[in-house]
Amino acid sequence: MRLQVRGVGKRFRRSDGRPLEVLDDVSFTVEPRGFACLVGPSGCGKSTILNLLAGLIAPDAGTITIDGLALDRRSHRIGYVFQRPRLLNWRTVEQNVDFALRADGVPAAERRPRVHDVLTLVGLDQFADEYPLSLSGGMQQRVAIARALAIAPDVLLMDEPFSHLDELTARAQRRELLRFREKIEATIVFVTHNALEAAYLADRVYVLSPRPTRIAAEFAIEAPRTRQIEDAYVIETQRAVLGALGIE
Amino acid sequence: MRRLAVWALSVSSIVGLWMMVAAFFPPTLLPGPDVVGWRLVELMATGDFWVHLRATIQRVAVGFVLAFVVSVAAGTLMGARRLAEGIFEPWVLVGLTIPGLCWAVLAVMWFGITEVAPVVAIFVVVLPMLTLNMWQGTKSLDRDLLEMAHVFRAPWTSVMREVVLPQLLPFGLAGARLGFALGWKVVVLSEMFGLTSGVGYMINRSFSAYSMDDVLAWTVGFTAVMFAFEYAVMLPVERRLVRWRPAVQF
Repeated sequence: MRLQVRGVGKRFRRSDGRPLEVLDDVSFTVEPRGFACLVGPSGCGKSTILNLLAGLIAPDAGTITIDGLALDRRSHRIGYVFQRPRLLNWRTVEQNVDFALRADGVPAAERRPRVHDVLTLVGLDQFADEYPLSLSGGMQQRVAIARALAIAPDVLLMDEPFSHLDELTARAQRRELLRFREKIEATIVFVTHNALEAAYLADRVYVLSPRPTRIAAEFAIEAPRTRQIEDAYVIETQRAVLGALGIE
Repeated sequence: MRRLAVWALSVSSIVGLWMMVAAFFPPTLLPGPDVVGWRLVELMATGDFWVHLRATIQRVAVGFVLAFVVSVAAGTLMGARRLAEGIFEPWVLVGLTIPGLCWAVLAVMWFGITEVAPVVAIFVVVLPMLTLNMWQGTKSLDRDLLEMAHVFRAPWTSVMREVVLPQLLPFGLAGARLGFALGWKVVVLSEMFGLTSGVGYMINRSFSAYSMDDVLAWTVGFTAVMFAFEYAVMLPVERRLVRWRPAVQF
């Protein structure tokens, strides 16, 4: 589905009552099944954008639409992968994925095969009956991804999902993500502060300015989806993104 | 197997120490475990032990359950709402400070020689501690998990059952342990001051008769029952509830 963000502004009230302008006129579009990365300096309102896209808060200005309809978390399915896995450690892997399906009101008969399918997709079907704490950090994050994908989301939001993993694990996870993204319908918005990660994963990279945030630069990556992190266009895009961020 | 051996060693070291110390004292001052053990068997055989044990346990159970129910409501409210925290915090702190002995005396003075007195004393003494426990438990709830459940639009019944309760259970269990231990200490005082049945009453009567054998037999008997309860009920329940947690390794 096409995700359109148009002229979105958001301000909060500080504790002393003065307004804090977080987002100022943010606009971007993610094509159906597209993969957009938002890259920005810390404190640039990335979480505010994600909260808006998740429908948890409403914009003060502008619109957010999915296939032309105003975003509504009751009618649209939004999958969310957090920085940390945020799993229910007292529930098995299978039950953790099932949690999202039940929350979405999927009938019991349908849930079991769907849990199995999505765990197979992320390569964890052998671990369905394990408890999360017996898995590695990378596997736990994959359970979280499976949970988000299980509800067959219209939009999949990913909030620096690999930033807490060691570099080798993160690399493997990114490769996995590229592999199974071919098989899912979701339109993906991926937030990161890692320019190389953005260049490697995305079709389109949006660089955010410091607060009040707008889109400072936009890069389209016309490259096959099967990539290597050392590919020339990945490195080039990384350099361009870093340039737009003001880092050389 | 090794755990069982350690356990057996630990238990027998308690009895062994008692035996060694008892060897240095006349039996009127400190009788050995064998003497006390036989006396306990006699008390059990006459049925006395069970009658008074039952009276005591009933009082502790009623007082504890009432306090537990109220503490879950009050403690979770305090953890979740600033206003409730502000209102009840001084109550909890005052309640924690007043000695159990005072409550035992006051309850008997107010309610006389009735079943109400010990139950009230237990309730009042156990409540602040259990409330403190649930209050801290609620405050330590993982907000990230609650947000996750909200994002996935989990209904509140599911949030309670799958997200909140499992996090509060360890606090509930710890509270149950502490509550029972505290309830037992208070009920004995109540029974000494103003009741005509129960383990505390019998200990006091044995004390009046200066029968060291009886005082110790009652104490050991009750302790043994609590000990059995811990191993037969509390530990298996706890083990079942935390089987998702991998063993700690240092």
